[in-house]
Amino acid sequence: MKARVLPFAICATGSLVLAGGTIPVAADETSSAADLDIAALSLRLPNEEKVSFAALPNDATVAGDPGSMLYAGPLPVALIEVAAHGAFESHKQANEKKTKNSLNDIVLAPYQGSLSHFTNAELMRRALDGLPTHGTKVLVQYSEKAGVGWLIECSPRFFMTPDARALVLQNDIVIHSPDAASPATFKNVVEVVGPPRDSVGKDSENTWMVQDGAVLTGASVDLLRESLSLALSELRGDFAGPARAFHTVRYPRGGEEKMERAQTLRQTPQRVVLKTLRGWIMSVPAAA
Amino acid sequence: MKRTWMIVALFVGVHLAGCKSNPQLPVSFADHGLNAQSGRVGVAMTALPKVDTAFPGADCLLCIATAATANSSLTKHTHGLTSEDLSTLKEGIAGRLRTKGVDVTVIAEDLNIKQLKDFSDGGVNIAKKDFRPLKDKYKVDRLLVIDITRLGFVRNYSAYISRGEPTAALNGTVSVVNLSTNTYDFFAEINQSKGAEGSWDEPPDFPALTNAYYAVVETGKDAIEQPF
Repeated sequence: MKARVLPFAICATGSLVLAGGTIPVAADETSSAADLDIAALSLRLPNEEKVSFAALPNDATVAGDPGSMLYAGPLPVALIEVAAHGAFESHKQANEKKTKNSLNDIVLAPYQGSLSHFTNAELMRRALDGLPTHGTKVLVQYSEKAGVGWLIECSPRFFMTPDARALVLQNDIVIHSPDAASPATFKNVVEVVGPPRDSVGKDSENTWMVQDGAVLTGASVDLLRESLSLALSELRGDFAGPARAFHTVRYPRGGEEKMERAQTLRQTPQRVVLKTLRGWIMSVPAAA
Repeated sequence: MKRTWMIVALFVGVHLAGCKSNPQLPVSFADHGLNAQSGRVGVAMTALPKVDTAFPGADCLLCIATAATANSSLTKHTHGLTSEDLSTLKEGIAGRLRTKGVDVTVIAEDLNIKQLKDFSDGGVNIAKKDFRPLKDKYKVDRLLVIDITRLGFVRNYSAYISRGEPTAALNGTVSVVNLSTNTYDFFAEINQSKGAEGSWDEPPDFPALTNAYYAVVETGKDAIEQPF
């Protein structure tokens, strides 16, 4: 494993600006600030043509209130009553959950026009171009055989916060070493929470749509690029070291403060890289 | 007939006793809270409860057993969670008070409120326990009491059937007792709860619920510290 990681030896350490000059928020230094010396890298497109976008699901739990119920009659009847009660509760809770998420589609509605043209091919081409590797970088089709070198397969899913102030990327990433016969050398989920945009009043949703959605797509590209960069950093052993203590990290997700119980892998004034309780790698904006 | 009257009297007695033990309502500081003129203030905390699960609504013996069995893996996981993040609460509040010029003493030992005698001269905003002996014991004029009574996960039930998903919970009170008069200068209930983001039922480690638990610990700390 270590031997396979060696080709990723660092050429130089530098910094990369996540915003890339496209996001109308404070420039946000990427947490994976390193150039990667990779001779050949391929990025395989997912099967889906369009980029996956959704609203972040409502995290309000259906907890209910304590109640009471009397089951009358002989045992067989009581058992039927318990089963009916269970079915009723289950149906009620499913409906309640559905209601809580019923407004989710509204969040993305203003951007659907732009997102309907946004393909994974464009997203990944731009992300790959911006990856700080020094070798060749090739985008391969879903069914195409990859060439020599390292191969990345991923399934990016983007979410917008309910206040439309930030994007969140969850990316299932698999990286294969140049030795095609070997099993994947990296397989994990990398989550990247984008920096919150400034609140700009009634027109907040439209700032994503500057230049026909260029800001929204640019932010998506930056998040994908960072997720790939973090996966490569993990593979290279950047986050190795003695086990760090878990602690609760606060960070902004849109206009909300969120908390994550995690190990801190890297911290800059702008961003914090974490390993979550699930073992995912997560990059979040640093709390103010 | 006599027996019927006894049952009625018992019923009424129980109800009246219930009325007598009304919960303490919130009390706000009369002026701008604790300051340099507040005298010596002790900051004390009761022993933290065991991090555990609770199933309100599962009231009959068989219901309790059913709920306990259905959630046994969550309960087992819960017992492994720590509450050590709350151990900094007293020092945190003491630090905030010191910046306001308050003469603060942090009471190192756990405060056992149950061991205090009942305070018979009850009234509005008067503590039900007699805190006055603590004035000489700790050499303070006021006692800030942090009393966390529940920590862990709550899953509501209706007899045998769960009414929803478990939520992380932190419940308790924070109060400031004037040790000369045994009255509350301040009293607030702290009730924090949070559910898992996404799927909760992921044994054996329940990462989403565990995350919710530690988030509730943080928001609980915020809620306790905020008035000071």
